[in-house]
Amino acid sequence: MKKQKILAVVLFCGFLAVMALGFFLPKPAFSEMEKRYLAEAPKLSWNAVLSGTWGKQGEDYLIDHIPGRNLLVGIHAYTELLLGRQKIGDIWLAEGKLLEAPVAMDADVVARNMNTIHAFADTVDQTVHVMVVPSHGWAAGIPDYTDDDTLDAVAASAGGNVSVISLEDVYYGKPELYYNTDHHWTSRGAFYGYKAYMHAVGKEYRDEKDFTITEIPGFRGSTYSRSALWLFPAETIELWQGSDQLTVTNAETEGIHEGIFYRERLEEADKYTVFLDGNHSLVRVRNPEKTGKILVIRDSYSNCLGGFLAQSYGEVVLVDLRYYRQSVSQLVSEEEFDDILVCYSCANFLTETNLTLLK
Amino acid sequence: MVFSSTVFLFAFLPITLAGYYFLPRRFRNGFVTLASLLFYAWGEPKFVLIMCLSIFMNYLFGLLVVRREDDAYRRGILTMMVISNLSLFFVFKYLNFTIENLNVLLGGILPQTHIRLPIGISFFTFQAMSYVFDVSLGRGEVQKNPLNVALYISLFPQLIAGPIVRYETVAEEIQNRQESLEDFVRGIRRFTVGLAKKVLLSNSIGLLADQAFGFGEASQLSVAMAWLGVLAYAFQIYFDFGGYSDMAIGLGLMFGFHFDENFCYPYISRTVAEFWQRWHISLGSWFRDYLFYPVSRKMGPLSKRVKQRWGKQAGRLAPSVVGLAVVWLCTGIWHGASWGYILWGVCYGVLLISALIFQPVFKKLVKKCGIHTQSPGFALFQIARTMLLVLLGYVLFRSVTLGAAVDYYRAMFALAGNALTDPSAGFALRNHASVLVLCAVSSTPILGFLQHRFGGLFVSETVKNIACMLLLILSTAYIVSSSYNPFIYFAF
Repeated sequence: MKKQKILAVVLFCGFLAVMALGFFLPKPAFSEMEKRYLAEAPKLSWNAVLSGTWGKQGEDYLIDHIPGRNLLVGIHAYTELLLGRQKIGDIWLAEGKLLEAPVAMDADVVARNMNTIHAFADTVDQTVHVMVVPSHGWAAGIPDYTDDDTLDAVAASAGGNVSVISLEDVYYGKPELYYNTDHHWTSRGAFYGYKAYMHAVGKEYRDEKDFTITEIPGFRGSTYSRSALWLFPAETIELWQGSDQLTVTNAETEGIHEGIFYRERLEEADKYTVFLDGNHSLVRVRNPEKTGKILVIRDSYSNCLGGFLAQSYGEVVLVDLRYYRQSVSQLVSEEEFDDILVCYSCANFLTETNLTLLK
Repeated sequence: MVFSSTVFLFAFLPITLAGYYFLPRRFRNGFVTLASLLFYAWGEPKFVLIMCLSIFMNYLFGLLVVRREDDAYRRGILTMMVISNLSLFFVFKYLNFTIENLNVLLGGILPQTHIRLPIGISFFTFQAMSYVFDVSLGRGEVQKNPLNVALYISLFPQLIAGPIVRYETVAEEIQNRQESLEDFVRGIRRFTVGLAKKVLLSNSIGLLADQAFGFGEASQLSVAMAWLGVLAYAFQIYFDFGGYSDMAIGLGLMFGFHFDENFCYPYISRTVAEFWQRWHISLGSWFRDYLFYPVSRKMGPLSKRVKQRWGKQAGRLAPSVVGLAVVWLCTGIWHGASWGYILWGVCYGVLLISALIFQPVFKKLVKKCGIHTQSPGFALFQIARTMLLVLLGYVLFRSVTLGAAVDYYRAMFALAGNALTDPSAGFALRNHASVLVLCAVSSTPILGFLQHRFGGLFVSETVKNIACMLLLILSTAYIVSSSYNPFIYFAF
């Protein structure tokens, strides 16, 4: 009896002590899993202490650097799973997939974005194609995902210089075109998007059999790291190798990259940046074997799509409005594009506010 | 600082415990007082001055009130003490609200103040008043050393969220207390259970309550979701507040203090009066001893007049009715500076007074209908009825404005043109089902009953140790995960 009581004290105090002492271990500044810099130790000053900010920042610092942080976050995720939760944080767990939460149709946002695109198309005086890619959840037929409402609203506001390419039939009932541990479409998913686009503009596309496909195992993407279900099985990334003449440049890095795949990125926690090195404000993919020039106003879905488009165009220019701060219409008047495409995932189309900066 | 934070669990608590037990006894009180001041000052250092003012003021009142024996003198000192404490309380908690409302009446001629509420002021002000009251009533020794008063008022376990420990409860233990292994282990377990209630149950089910009470328009909120939301809120507030009380009592035990219980399974109450004997007991008994009894004792003349006019029975009830009315108005006001809280208090006052007045009628009715009052069916009916009233009260308590409360009531009773149920209610129910069940089970004394009835595994020390560590690790995981927030787009 007494031994058990002493054990209780030892366990409790031991746990507190281990956690407290573990704090003095060396600390990483950056979290691979969370893709963010962890809180820094607050600087001690009278002002900071008296205003209470020192205390608050100290709390952020401690919690970011607690020993066994990833393990604890994982324990939380699996406990939630055990409790029968269908949501872990903002990640939905459905049919063995880790999905982003559904984004409900918002008529105001759709109208605002489509008006911006119309105005832009009128400014550049040229046809602008719009593709909104439905979400994985909708493609899997989960009732909470109502992307068709959004896609229909987008389609309804086509006309004039704006043409909308419908993707509903391409993706509905085909959840295999998306990753189970990431919020993007797979390479095959992007290929179908490429095919649908080329078909819509009446141009030839590179056929599936003309690609060499390499499978890269061990991929766990964004919804995996957000869910913290660390034991969730990994999947494969497919690299579709078409023309071997492609070169890539982007606004943030010097030099020309041979090929669209950044294979060194496969060693990192988030392998998805293998496609065009992830997000950049402006990316150019050149194909000396082809002619024609396309501008894509886009989110990260086009990291993969861009590589496919480059199979059919001499130059693909990808502009990400989250980071590109200049006028796109000026770019158009300077460079002259044969085709212009706006391609967004449905969730980003509804939540991404930078689209209104398009001018 | 709050208990459910990493700073408290893995910095403040280990250092305070280690310091306390390594120091010789004569330094321990000073050490805990210092730690408590630091605990209070952590988030908002300047408010610690207000607490120090309260400590100093009541230390002096304590010394003054025992200087002379005569009643008139003591009454004078006590009146001054109450006025000083309530003034401090008023300025920091109610001045903004009062000016806001006066401005509505007077057309905005007063400058609006923006004084922020010092955390825990409602608790430590009442606790400080209890010191002077109890000293004057001879229920505890007056403290010559101001540090001891500081220890009593600022003791960190109960400082920011109660229980309101009355001076007589710990008067003896401030100077002479015996920490023991037995108490320490009980303290560990009590603290961990409280932490789990707060972090695992209250925070989880709070998501559901927030979802329901965050409705845009009453017509958007389905009847099912509205009821689910208020039930979730009932669990959220009970396990939040009850969890805090458990943690406070547990921490007290670790340092050798024995506080009184603050909650006793309130949701199994058969009447509203019983509910208030089981809910926030320390506040109820504070009001009972320091407000209800003194007020109703003063009602002798009123009682006589009522007796002449309406009969013996009424005369006997009159003092209690007045006492209840005063106490419940004050209880409403104590909870917060808004009309919602005041109305909520008034509603409980009206309920309890009507129960008192109509009790004979009810008794007769039950007898006439031939209802067996000891039957389980009747008990269930009473519990359900009490719970219903409590839930209706929570709507007032939780809603941000009176208008929002009215909208919520309309949604609950399908008066807002809202649907009976909707997909979001179904999803919420599925998503929270297991936590709702855990909450419901933990709201009843079932576990205690099993321990008592079957013993064995239920009382095994090994099982208790394992369960305690499991809850501690799980709670830590839940606290840490609240800060886990991966960026999806990390570009530059």
